[in-house]
Amino acid sequence: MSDDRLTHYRDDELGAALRELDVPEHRPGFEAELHRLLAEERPATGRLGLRWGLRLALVAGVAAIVLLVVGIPRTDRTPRIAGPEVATAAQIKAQVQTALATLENLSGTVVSDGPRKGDRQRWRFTLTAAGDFLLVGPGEGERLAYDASEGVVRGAQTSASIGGDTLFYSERRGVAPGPPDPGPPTGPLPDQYGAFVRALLSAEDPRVREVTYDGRPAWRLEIDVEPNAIVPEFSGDRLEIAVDRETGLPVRLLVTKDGAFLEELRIEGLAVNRDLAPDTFELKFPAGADVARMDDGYRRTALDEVAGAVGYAPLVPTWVPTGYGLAEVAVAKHGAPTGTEGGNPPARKVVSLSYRRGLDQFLVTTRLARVPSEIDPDLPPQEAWSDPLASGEGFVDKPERLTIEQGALAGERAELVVVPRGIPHLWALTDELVVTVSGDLTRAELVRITESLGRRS
Amino acid sequence: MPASRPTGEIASAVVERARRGDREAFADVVRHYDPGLRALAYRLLGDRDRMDDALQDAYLKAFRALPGFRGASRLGTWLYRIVYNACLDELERARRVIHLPLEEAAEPRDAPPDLAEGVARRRDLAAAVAALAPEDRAAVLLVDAHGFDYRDAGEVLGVPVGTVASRLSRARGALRHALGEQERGVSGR
Repeated sequence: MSDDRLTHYRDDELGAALRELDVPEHRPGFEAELHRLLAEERPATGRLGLRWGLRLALVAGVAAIVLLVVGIPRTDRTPRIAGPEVATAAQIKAQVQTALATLENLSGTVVSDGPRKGDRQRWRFTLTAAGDFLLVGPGEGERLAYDASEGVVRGAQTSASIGGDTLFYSERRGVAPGPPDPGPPTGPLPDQYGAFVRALLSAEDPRVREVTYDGRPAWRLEIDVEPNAIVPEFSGDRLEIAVDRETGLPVRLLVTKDGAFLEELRIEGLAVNRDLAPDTFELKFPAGADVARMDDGYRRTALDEVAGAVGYAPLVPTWVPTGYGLAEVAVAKHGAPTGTEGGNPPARKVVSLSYRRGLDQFLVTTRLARVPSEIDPDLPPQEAWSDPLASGEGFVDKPERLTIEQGALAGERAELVVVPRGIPHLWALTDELVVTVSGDLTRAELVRITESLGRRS
Repeated sequence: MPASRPTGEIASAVVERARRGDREAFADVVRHYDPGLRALAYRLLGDRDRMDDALQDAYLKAFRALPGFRGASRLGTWLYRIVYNACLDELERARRVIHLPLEEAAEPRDAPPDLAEGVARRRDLAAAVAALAPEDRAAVLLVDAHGFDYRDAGEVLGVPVGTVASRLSRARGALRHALGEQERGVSGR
């Protein structure tokens, strides 16, 4: 029998017989019990998490767009592109990258809108180059604050499922610095709004048109993207970013599908590199408040302490792009599975090194490879592991396969992925470790950083 | 009630609403896939209460995880995988020999020959299914009874396509053998 026949054959007669076997209905009260259990799901870990995820993705996306805003005209190092001449997409992209690398902080109000009445929402936000953030809104009293150096997210939020104005308080400690581990919720989600600016940066040749926006001359950059195959009607096929010609400020992000409006983001009251009060990112809970507390298990530590904590010498790059510096070192004995739908084996003895440059970030992570899969403990590592940062089907990644030529990973095979909707990344599976390098990097930088990795004992 | 062949994928609009935390939409998702998932869980666990416990656990996990569902597989495949894992967890927790159900319908004393043959055939098949290893049992149920292709079954089971094929081969052989024995027994009356 050929392989094809072998893997397509179905025993229909046997199948019909199996379907004739009785299957009982649920026990009495099953559905009511399930509804009760669903209703008991804590907002901080269920619905509210999603809600904030969406909100933060919005803000993260807009923040990234804001970088376009501030990057173009506001620093002496940044060439001015405003003027009568038509900027090329390459010029604009270069300005974006410069902005990402030089900002200290930014703040403003982000407005999101959708096709339905009531979709419009507003948040005030502040982000810093250290990774801290504060979000205020959209409801009265709602706030979310992240302390990157401590890895703590604190929130006061209403419940989307319960409704009303009641605030629920939460504190999530031990948060990982970022992907592929579950980092703070502000990180641009690969399949969400934050990825749109990456789409601009990774687009081969975005179209630039002269348009009028809000009565002012502007440039409009258009990027075609592949919608998600699973929920295509909710996923755009075109992104448009409008950049004010006079100031060089991006003022609007528009997502459309077959020409129909899906989503809009815009920024109001932008401020850059302002003086921030020391307590800007503090969120104090009211006395007696019922606070839902969680711990992801990622502990900040010194690089020299890592080997003792995880039992192996960490892989540390000896080369990073200009301006980047090591900002956070975190270790975790246990972590959540990575990969598409969390399909990889559980994370064990994780090391996460976070490098920052302005609002840019990249991470080098390692975790043990020989961890039994929860799905099938007998699977060998090469079958158990898949790309820890995969975008997921519907956004099909086409990795570039390469061999690492230098450094501690010399000779290892690796996969490199730079796609519009995902985080640029490279990953490799060795006998001992699963290694990822990911973040705001070009293809060449990903490879060079990876080839500079060395053991630090 | 016999298990029905699983229906197709649910409307993506419902899925998206469920992803955004709409409990009613999630209930629609559960209702859509429940017959097939119930059949799988019952055949793996062999007891209605344990089936319901595992399904409740699985549905809650799915509800929590759905916001992160990014379409890496079909939603049905994803749910089957969660239920399959919940059943394996339940089996692991129990750590005891599971007496899977023989066909619950007793053979009527005065049943006509065709009906009696049918009942006996189902009873023997159920016994043969119960005797399979859970992994083999799940493979044959997914592919032959529920209509999964090998790739999707592999995603549910967390194994490569080749492993699905080998498990199917073992399971089919055992079940065919059981059916053949039973048929000879009936014809020998």
